[in-house]
Amino acid sequence: MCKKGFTLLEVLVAVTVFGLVAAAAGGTFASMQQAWRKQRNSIALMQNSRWAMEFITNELRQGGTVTISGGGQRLRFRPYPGPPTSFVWFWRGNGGGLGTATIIYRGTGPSIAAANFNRRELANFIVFPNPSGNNIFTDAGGGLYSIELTLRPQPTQPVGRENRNYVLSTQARPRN
Amino acid sequence: MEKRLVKAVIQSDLINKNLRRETCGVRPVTSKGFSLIEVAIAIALLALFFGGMLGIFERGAIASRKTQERTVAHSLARAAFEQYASWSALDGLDGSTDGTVTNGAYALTVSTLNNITYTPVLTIANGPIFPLQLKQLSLTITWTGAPPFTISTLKANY
Repeated sequence: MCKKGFTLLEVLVAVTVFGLVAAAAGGTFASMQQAWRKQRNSIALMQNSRWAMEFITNELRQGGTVTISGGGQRLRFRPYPGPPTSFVWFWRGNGGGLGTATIIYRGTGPSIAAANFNRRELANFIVFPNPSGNNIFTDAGGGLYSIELTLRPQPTQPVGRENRNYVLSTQARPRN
Repeated sequence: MEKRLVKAVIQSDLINKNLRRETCGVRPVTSKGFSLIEVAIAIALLALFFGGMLGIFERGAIASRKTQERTVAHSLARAAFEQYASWSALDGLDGSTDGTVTNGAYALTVSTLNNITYTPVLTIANGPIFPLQLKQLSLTITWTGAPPFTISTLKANY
């Protein structure tokens, strides 16, 4: 008698074992991908928040005649040297003509409309209002201005395990 | 001579046929391929190797969390230095208005960001030169689960 091929039992055992191995490998792959996504988000938040913070404070420090408007979401100051009618503006988009609500913009001009015309994106992932209740831009008194940014990987989605807030806060003193 | 060769060929053909019959036409049993134990050991070793590499992701997550915390601490430290960037604000620390800055350590406002409490302490010391006109400011921020973060600067009375 000639025994060719595998028995049903052999095939069943083989498929089960292979299935177990594949499931374990798949689970590992999923958790690796999750970790990778988490780290990518974390890096994106840090890059955006730090860049915006450094940029705003460095420029604000050299400026003067600071005005905060738009419910603490707009900052205007006069850069020195520069004509007294020209201002630098930093603002969070209003979800309409002044840009996307999750982005902080910078522009220059006598009015916000003029600044909006030459705006540049400074940071994405912005959430407002801040969980602390503070505005983005606050006159802290004594010539100091506070900036508080809250960022989230998916700013329009609610807070979750994969969508945590990251808050960065600093202040600057305009020298002029 | 030729006859013997033909005989040998026929004989070897017979041997082949016999062999084939014994193994049902499947290839003859030799020690080719791996045994089950060898394969099992190889898989176990590979699993250990790649399992060890998974630790990298864990470490990466820890590192990125630490970086986030230090970024917050750094921006708070910058904020504190901005606050005491003027000599008069430094004077205000000891409550005196006589134009002299007292040396010592001052606990500044504690802030809680991302559920972590950052405690800043500002230390003022005489500058290496012109001690009355130049002060060395060191700001140390401490929070749980990380070594203290210190930055320092010099501030002139002008």
